Amino acid sequence: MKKIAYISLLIGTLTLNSCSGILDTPPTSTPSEDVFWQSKADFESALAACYQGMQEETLSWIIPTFDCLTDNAYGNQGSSKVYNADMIQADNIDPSTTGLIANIYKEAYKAIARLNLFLDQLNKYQGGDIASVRNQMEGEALFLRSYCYYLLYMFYGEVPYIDKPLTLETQNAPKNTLDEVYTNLTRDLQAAITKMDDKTYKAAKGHATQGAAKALKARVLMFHAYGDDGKVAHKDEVEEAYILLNTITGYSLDENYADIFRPANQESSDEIVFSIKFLAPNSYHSFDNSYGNYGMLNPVEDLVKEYEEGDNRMVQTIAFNDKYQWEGGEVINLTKSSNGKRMMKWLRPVLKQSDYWNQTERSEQDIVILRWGELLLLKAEAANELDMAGVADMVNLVRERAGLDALPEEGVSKEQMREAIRHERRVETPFELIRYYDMKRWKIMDKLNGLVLDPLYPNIIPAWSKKHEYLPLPQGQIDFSNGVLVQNPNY
Amino acid sequence: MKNKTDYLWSFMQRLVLMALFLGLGLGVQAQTSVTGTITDTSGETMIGVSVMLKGTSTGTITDIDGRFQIAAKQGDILAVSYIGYKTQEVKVTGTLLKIVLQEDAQNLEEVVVVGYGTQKKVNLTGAVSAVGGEELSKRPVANTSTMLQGQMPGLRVTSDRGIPGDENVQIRVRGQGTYSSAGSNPLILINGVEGDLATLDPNMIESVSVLKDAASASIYGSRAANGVILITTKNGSGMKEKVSVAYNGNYAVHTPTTLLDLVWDSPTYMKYFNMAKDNSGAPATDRYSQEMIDAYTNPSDKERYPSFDWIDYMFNPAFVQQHNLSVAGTVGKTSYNASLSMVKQPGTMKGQTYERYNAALDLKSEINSWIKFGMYFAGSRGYRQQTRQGDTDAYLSTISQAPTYMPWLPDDGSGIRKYTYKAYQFEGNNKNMVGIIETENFKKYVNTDVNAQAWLELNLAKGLSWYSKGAIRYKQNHEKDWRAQVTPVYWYHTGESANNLNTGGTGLDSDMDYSTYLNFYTYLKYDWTSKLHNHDFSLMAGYNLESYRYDKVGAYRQFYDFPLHEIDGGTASVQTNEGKSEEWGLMSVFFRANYAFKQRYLLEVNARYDGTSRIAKASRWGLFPSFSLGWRITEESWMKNLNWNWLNNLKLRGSYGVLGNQNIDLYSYYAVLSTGKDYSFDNSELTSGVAQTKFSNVNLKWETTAIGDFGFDATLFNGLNVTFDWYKKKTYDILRKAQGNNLLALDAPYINSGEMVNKGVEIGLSYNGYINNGKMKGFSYNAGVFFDRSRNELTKYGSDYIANGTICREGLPYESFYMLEAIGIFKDEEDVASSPKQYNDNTLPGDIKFKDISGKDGKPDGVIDDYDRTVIDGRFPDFEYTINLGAAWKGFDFSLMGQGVQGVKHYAKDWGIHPFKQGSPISWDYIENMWTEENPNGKYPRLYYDNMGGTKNTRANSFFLYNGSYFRLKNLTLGYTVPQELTRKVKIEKLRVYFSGDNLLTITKFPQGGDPERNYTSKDNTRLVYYPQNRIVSFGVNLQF
Repeated sequence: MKKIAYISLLIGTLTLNSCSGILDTPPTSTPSEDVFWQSKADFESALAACYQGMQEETLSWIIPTFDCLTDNAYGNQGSSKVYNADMIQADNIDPSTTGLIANIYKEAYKAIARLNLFLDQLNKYQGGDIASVRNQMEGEALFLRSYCYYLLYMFYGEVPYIDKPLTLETQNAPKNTLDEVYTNLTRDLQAAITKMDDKTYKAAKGHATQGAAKALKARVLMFHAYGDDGKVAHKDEVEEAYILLNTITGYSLDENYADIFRPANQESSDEIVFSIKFLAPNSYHSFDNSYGNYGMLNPVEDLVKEYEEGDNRMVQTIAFNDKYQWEGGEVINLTKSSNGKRMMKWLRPVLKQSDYWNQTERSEQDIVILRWGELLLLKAEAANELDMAGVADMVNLVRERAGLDALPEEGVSKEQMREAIRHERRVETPFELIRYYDMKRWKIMDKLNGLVLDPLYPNIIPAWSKKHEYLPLPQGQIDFSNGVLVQNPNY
Repeated sequence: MKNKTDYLWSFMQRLVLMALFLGLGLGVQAQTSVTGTITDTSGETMIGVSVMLKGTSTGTITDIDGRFQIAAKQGDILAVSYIGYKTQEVKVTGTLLKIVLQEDAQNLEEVVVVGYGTQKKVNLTGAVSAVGGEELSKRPVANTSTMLQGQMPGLRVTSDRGIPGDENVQIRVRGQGTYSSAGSNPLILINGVEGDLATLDPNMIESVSVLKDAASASIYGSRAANGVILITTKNGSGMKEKVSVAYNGNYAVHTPTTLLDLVWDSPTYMKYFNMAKDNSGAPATDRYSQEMIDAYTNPSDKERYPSFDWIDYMFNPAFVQQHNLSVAGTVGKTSYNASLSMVKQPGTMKGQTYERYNAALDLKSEINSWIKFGMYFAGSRGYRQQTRQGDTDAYLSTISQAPTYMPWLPDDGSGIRKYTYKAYQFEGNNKNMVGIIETENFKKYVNTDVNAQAWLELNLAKGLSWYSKGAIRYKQNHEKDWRAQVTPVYWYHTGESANNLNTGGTGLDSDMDYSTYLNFYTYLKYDWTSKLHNHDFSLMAGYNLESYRYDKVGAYRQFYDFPLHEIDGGTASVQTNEGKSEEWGLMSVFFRANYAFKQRYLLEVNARYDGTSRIAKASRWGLFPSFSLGWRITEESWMKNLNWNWLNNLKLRGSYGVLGNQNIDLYSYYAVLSTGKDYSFDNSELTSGVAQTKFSNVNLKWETTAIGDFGFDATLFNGLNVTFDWYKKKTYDILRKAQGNNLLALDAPYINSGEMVNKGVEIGLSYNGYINNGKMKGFSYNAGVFFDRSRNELTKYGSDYIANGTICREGLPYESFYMLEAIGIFKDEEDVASSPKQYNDNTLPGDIKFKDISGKDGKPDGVIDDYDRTVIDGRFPDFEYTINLGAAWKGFDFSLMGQGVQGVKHYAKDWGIHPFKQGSPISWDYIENMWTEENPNGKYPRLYYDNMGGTKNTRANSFFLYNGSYFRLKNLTLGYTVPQELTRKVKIEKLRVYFSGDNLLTITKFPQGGDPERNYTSKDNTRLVYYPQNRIVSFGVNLQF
């Protein structure tokens, strides 16, 4: 009897134990998709994530490295954040090379994929709560996507122009022609201009604005406007660019050049038209460690000699003999470099040696993508090509801040003014991904052939060949596509 | 109630008393006509051996000391028998007999632990290998997984580094079963409940069984696709009213198995540094000047101009100790085994340490004739310290230094130690590890692993029993990553401040994760045997519930004014935190039936029906059945009639079954979004960002592995055991991530796609011998060989996938090598000019020359490009083997285990292969064998700095494929047991002292500095050097009261 009682008790206990609920274990730490995309707040979060997507390295804080593709700088061989730029600078290009060739493509499309999902959901969403911001949101997403395509267009030329979410089945897309990429890009930017509010960047509190879209479109137009001979081939595009730039209002030059690139001053800047923002400690990058501490790229003599006597931008951009002194600080010994020249622009000021940057540094510089100083010079360039008056005034605004004499209003030929503007752009914009853009569209990349970047670098011989005008698409992507994605010619 | 408490108390008291009065056993000496002792071949006394006077019913059994007394007269014959041993007939001569019993090679009663129970070895129809705990504990290593090396055919255990407490041991049963993230790790069960070998006290192990085929493993269904390893712990049963207290201690010296042989002589380093920089076209400033070189040549001040050997400084012999104390015995109907252990293991490299403490108790009690219960409790706590960026980083940083400076500046009289940045600006180096270690930038881990089990077995009726077990496993890991101190580093010669020590960030991370795993299973078992054993039936059915939850919280603060290694010790100005949890559940029903006809024809059916939370409802349940047959040929009367004395036993086995694998991401079918994609629009606060970053797949189903196995077990010549298995293991519906390209950008979903086949042969031979007479009487010896060969083939995959010099292509082994074929070094300009153009490269004499294999049109085209990549064999070994030898005589014992791998190649580059990688010194070997104009036949490329000339030489190519075959003397043990007559006098049952050496000898062609014993299944393991493994020389003592 006792035996049966015990056993019954045991069976009872065990039966209670067998709960079938143990197989239902929904995620505990992340939201599920079926409860998302339901309200304005959801779309705001999704849009924030789209901006966050723009923080990918080659889309944002790696911006100085691109000058290592030009006559401005040389990237230390083997340094990971140089992304093998030195090999491209030497025209030693291979589709399998890791670094920029693989990463710009990968990171731009990663941001694009997120933007396409956002745009797709926005179109599907019927809720009235976003009626007032729907256009602005759409415009912002189109602007961000256009910035990605602008980079892809500039670096690779022909790429797949993807504007819808892809699936496993549709992912293997062929590339579009150069014309199609250009047409789509300008079309999207025009849509962004139409849809977005016309506010200043400061007033928009970090969201993209109509002005930003206009500025970016002008940049694309001015890239496309030049022919193979380096002369303006599409005057209408220059005209359109001029009109776009001329209708951007509310911006002026900040007083201090270096401040544009320092986090303490960026939020109050009247000059920044668009930037990719960071806020330490949680939203940060390693700019100061990579460029300050490691000093992985070096400005070269060819850039130094471009500066005029008395140009205050030089010392705000470059340090010499591996030493530097910020306003109000002591002389700091920098990590020794091969030519003693170091990029100082963008870096967090270090006032005493012990305050040196290190790996700890969670840097938060906003990465300035569009700013009025550069746009003013672009406008001047357009005006000059269009034979308009008042060109020198625009340039002089920039020169004045640099502590330089004004260019004469009269008696300067169009060609002389063109050279003056090109010179001014070079010294105004190092390490902002402008020099590469300029050299490429002006068709002066061949200057690199045989150029001695720096007398201390006699063995470093940059090179450029027309056949490698565009970078190759990453070999891994070509391999994967089974012939659908066609490699750029000459690779 | 009171009675019960009293009983418990007295029981506890007895336990304590017994523990106190160690070994004060009650040996009653009686007077009879004949007495004797019985031992086994290793000299251990045997309890409970039956001694019968032949032809009579008079008999006795031996006592706890192996003694017996029996009334017999001279010339009588005694029949001595014991289960598992050969029965002996002994003639009575004299009054004190010493009888040694030999183990019976074809032990009919030997049982093997299988899933949910045990089975007689002779009745096994599946492929199961087993080994006893004492075999394992011969190895003087701290990690129990390592001990499984070479113990059984079909089980491959590799470790690729010797870091204390983090050996990265990889266990594979019959090769790599799948390429999915579900993984190829076998299921490891400790007394039936999932556990971790690395934290298990080896002294607790009674036996280890490995279930290799579907027949034996399918009772574990969805988790058994990669085989199952069953660990059974010792519980003191069979000790017959005896307490045994044992102490095992081991003192070892660890040294690295291999280190790079680099040029730490400064003038030589400088000379080749300059040469490398010349060849690499580096800026002219990047050279040692003649004055610098002169200063280091025969320097007057050796501290200012040193030739510092960083490896020698950082690596030192490590003194390792292990201690174990155990108490085991039986009290009434209760038997127990309690064990305490500790391991203290500093690494051979400075900064790495490990300590572990284990406590375990296994207890079993018969409450009455039909209720048995038991429990197992094991806890371990480990303390591990590592330099914070990891062992590999520490080792590589140590190498990546020039000999031209010491880790610290010459004392300037201040007494403050200043750490060196480097000597000259143009030198390349990595972080100063001496500084990192001395300023205590460590990651410290504290691990706790508690496994508690209780079980109950009821004998309901004759042959019918009911077994239930509940278990909890709690694991906790606390990790502190401290690098809060900012330490300046200085230029060696000028003493100027140069930078801060590269600690990879500042601050303290303190992360805690903990997991709870619950397991409950219960089963009914029914055995029935007809008279004369014509029909034997056995049925078993049960169910099993498992659930798991993992939690993690972590916090970080950046600034610390004081060296307080707690979050609160820092300022709150910069701080972050995180937290998450995960859960899964598994529910199963299982079933087994055995039938034996006349003990000759054996049939077994297993099945398990599993449901998992990781797969969507519609497809979460899977059935995993298996069938196996056995035929004991030697039991057939016609076989017996042949009278083949040489064939003692032969059994044929065959099995087929399917197993599952569900070890994928927990939430693959939930469309979840990622949080934390935050953005600071206004630079004052973050706006929370949410994005879809991956695809989900609700149609996922189980990954399935079907295994067919055919084998035989034979005993020949009364001592030679042969086991043979042939198997084919096919894994299909492989759970893997779909292939996504850059445009898709999101994490591709898991899909069921692809198929892989492993075919193989396993052979095990072992021979036990014993010399019964002559001078060498009492000499016992054994020898064994395991041979293991497995072939992998990807049978369904989709389009080729090429990455990192490997290819996944149908018809080839998974991730076969796919690269350019290097055919030598260009001798001179003419050689370059007359050979196919290699890419767009600036190919120079001394660069690597590739073979023109194909082209756009599938034919050699006089150009070397990606079309010339080709498949190169050697991804997996041709075969692996193990050799065991052992002998015992007059108290001495000897054993040797050697292990080898044949026909595998490893892709190895960077440090040790690329001269001056991150400034690391060139090897002497490279200097002697590199191409130069004077040595156009050099086998190594022209000397470049750091990157071997860049892409032109470092594209995936076979120059970097090295022969990874090796034979290694894994262990050699030599022991001596002091005769019991002597030790008994001081109440010691057994005293053995031994020498045990690990990894004493390696025969290989693999480049020096790299260890050929490595986990070759990952294509990402492409460095020559890792933190070196350990060569161990140890002395130990086994003491038993």
